[in-house]
Amino acid sequence: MKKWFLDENKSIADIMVVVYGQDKEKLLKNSLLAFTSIITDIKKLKSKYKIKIKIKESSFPKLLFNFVEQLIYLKDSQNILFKEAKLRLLKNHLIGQLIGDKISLTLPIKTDIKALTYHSFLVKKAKNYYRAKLVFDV
Amino acid sequence: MSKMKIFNFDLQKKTEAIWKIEKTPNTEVIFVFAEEDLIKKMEEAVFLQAKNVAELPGLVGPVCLMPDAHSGYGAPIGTVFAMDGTDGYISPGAIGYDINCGMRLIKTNLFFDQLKSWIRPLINKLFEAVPAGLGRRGFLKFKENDLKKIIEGGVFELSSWKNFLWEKDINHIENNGRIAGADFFAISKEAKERGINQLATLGSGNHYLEIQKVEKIIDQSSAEKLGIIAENQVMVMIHCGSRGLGHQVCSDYLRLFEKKMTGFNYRPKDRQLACLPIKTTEAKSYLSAMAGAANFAFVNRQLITYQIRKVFSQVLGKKAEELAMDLVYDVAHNIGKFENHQVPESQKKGRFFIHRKGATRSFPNQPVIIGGSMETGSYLLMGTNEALLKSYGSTAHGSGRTMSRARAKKEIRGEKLWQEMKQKGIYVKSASFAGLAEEAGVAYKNISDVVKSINLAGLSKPVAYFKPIGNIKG
Repeated sequence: MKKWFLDENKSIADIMVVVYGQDKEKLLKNSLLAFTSIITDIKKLKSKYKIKIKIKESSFPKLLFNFVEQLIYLKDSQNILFKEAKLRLLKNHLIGQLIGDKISLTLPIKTDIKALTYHSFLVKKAKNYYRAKLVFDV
Repeated sequence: MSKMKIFNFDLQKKTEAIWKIEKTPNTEVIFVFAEEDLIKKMEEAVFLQAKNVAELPGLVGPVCLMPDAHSGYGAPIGTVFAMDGTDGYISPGAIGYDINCGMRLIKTNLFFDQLKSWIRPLINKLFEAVPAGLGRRGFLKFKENDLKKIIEGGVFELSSWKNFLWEKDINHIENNGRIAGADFFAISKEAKERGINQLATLGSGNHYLEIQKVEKIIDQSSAEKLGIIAENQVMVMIHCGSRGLGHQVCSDYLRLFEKKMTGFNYRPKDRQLACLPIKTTEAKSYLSAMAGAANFAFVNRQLITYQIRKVFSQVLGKKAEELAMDLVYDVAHNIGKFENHQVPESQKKGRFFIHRKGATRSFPNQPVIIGGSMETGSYLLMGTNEALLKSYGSTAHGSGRTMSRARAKKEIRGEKLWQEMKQKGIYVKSASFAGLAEEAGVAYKNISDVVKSINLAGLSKPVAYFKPIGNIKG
């Protein structure tokens, strides 16, 4: 199953991605992969830093939104990008660990993500998978 | 009267560059300030998003679309509208994420022939002095208390520090570099943490620092008043905003507004247009936070100016004062402000809250700076009385994209573009070749077409046209 893809023509000024996951946890993990892969070559990141994460929301779409916003906040405030996550989701309560590396001057940067927008934001459950549509302000 | 149908929208031609979409029971009038050719280049989403804006409660009159309008999220980029100053609504998404993203123009007394051989060392040094791209921090370390002063006091706060501010600079910045009403405590800890190390940095996306030469003087008298004396004079232009701090302010308040909107009857078609009455505590708090982010952006551009003056001085061996590196003007193009206006095509006057998203204030005798793509050039214009009557004193802000970033990256090779620009006499230093490809000239409308439309519509009058000779891109 495809983890995510870039929708090239839908958004002129921004970047739209469609993310898939067999379950909610995988959707969160693949959203992280999409996020980091838009910014850099994810293979160049080492697993040097671990950051604990805890999010509680009233619904799963809100939780996914908040999760991605956390990635943006940590990128700017702690200068860190993540290549993987160990996550546990109980109802709409997420706990886990984000694993990644500091942004060095040698890291190839493709673009910066500055915000996740509500524009076209969507989380849908299909028969046996979940799908999310994310539009980033870049 | 000539008509045009575009994506199921009926546009009536009022003049060569003013088109009108009539009011409906659910929507206000929409004015499109552009010639027919530019309108035809706009995507359907521009009109659909403008329609959503025209449905917002509390509007006092028309929604204005600028000739550089392109689809954004919520409101198109290139939108202006006015809310009643007391009973209107505030929409953070219709001001934009990068609060007080704006343009700054600095003049010099140098001419291209004198500077030709210095462009490369200047750009290389500027690239070190003014960090661009992701993960690079500014030259100063700020403490929380410094940040509070900057957020609440704006550029004026820099007057007691080193040589960051020339006394006369302050008279050449919109609102003198300080939006009143800013409150440090209305801004979240996350926003402050994102922004504190980013002061004096350009950021990425379409932000840049450019050395330019005057290619053409269009209005000699206005140009001279602004210190532009002849063609080939060297100028420096900055395009950037409030960095992560402004983005986080917008994200924080959008989330809050969406949550609080459940108590009201109105739901916008696009969640990005979440809005609340000006009177509410949440809206007031957003205005204080937005003013703080705007002040942060003014200070960011001022600190970048300090670095530019320092680098020019070091490289050329003369003081910045001797090089007459005065500020021509600094103007925002993502901002919301209380202003007194007359509603277009109406006698109604009042104190309104103006949302400008990707649009520049254009008041009489006020310089307007419109940046083009890094390949094509930029314009300096003057605001007009007509703009006050037609567009709440507003005009365009740039070229406007025609190609998505993803497509531009696929179709254009950054390295090849860098070579081509070098051959054209534009030396570029970019944080990444991919970022460079996104900003290629072909991804944008022709800046001269945009300026022609705003000139024809009377929204601002061109003074001078600049061509890039060196560019730093995030």
